[in-house]
Amino acid sequence: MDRKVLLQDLADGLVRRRGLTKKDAEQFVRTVFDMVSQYLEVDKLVKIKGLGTFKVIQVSSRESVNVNTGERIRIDGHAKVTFVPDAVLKDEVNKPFIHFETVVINDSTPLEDMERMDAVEVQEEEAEDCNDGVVNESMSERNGVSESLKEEQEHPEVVCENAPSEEILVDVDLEQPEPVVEENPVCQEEDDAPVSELLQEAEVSGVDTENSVEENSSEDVAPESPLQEAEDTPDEATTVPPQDTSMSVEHLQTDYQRVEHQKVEDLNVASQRVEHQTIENQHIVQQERELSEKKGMRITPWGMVGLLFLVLILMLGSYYAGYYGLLCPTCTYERLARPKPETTVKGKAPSVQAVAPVVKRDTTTGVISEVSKEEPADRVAGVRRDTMRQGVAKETAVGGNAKETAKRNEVAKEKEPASTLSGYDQVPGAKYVITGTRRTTVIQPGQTLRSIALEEYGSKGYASYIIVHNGIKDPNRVEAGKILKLPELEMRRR
Amino acid sequence: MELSRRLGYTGKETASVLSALVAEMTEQLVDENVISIQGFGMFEVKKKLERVVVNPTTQQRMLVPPKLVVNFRPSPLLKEKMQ
Repeated sequence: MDRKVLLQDLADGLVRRRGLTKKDAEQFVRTVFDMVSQYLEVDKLVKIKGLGTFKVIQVSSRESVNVNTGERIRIDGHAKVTFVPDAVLKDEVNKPFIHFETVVINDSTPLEDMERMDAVEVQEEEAEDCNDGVVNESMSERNGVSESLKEEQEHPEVVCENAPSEEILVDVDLEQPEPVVEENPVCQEEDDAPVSELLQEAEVSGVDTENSVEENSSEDVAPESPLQEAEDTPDEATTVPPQDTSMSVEHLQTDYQRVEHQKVEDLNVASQRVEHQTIENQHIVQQERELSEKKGMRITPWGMVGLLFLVLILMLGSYYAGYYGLLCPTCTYERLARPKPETTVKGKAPSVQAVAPVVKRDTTTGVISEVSKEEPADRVAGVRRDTMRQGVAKETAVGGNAKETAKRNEVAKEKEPASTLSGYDQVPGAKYVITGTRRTTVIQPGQTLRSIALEEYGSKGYASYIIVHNGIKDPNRVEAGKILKLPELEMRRR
Repeated sequence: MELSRRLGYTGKETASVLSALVAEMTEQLVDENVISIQGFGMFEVKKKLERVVVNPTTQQRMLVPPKLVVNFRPSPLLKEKMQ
């Protein structure tokens, strides 16, 4: 990698390949390039098959401005040697990225988010250069999804988590038999069993297929679907008429989510709650996409496969969104501050809900679903965020100084609903949460915020917390003698 | 280019060795090595980041994927020669 290859090395390659003597090989390489430059002089164009075309282009003189002095200068016309690589060479070199294609972006897609997403994508690409299907899917998915901000936040994560391809395989196994089981007693079984293990899933899916055979007898047999259902199990292919596939996929989605739901419940109640929200969000998105993709899906089995990938991505999304929400609580806090003051009329609903999770964990989920029916979508989002915040807040309370945070929460709830979790301004996306003021200090002449941070916390990087905590507008201009509040920091929980 | 036979090779030989040379260069470039030829120039592989372009007529925004591109930098000697 990035080694400098000289003429001699190329000659060595020739020796290896053609069995020339080293001297001859070197001579040959040298002559080749000599010839190229010689012919360039005369013909202005030299083409080497498999490598590319060298060309001499005459650049006419032009006016320019010296960047440093701003004075006008004249750049004389000169000859420029250009090299256009042959298609073969180009493709060969570009191999790692070969499956990328230019994609049309929807107008509504915000750019900065896009860029972040792409960064992740490139990483994934470098990690494993298969799965272009997945990448492309996530791209298109992204386009469809762009209207809801929350969704977008989750997606970079989704792409990240796609990397373990084993997981995908497992999921595919699981979901294929499932659509048939929808609203069946078996579904209950599935829910009860701890579904986290592969083996058990396999068992369950076995049961499902049995069940589907039973259903076969009762349902009409639609013979025209084999092509499109080619990926699925044969009995299923006959069961589901083509116009139902989109439906069944959707059911599959919900089913799987239910299963997943159980899984997560075992792990973490809070994350489950978050997942609730995302599932509902995804329902909306899913339906939209269903509409748009119905046609394509019917045409080819590839469309079917693509859709499966899509569904998988969504599933993983809902699964990991739980972690994400906990990973980055400030993101939610920031947005929280906006919708809340607006909800004067509906304000009662959130506050009722905000209390609910503290009292009873189980009821919250129910309440959320109820609310989602009653209120328009964005309102719901706001409300959910609220409950989520409470959930997180509660967790931190349980983990650390329980009473303190709880009390502060109460205060925040009653007095100033728009304030953030701990009542202090937070550094967005930072590792630590500002939970109070540790002590105050007076800035000495010659001290900087960074040096104070270095002294107090052991690193200059903590200056940002001081800046935020004191509401300093211009960190580069702080006067000596000013009294600084040094924030008490607490590690942010996952 | 077949005039490379001023070395005293037959045309066939020249073609075959030349293709071997091209293959070798390609291989080196695929490994992202820099090929530097004295008095001629440098071949190097550059990574182009992806970017968003706008079609001026349709105002359509496109995302151009990242790619690896071979870049050739002529040496000053060659430049001088071309004047």
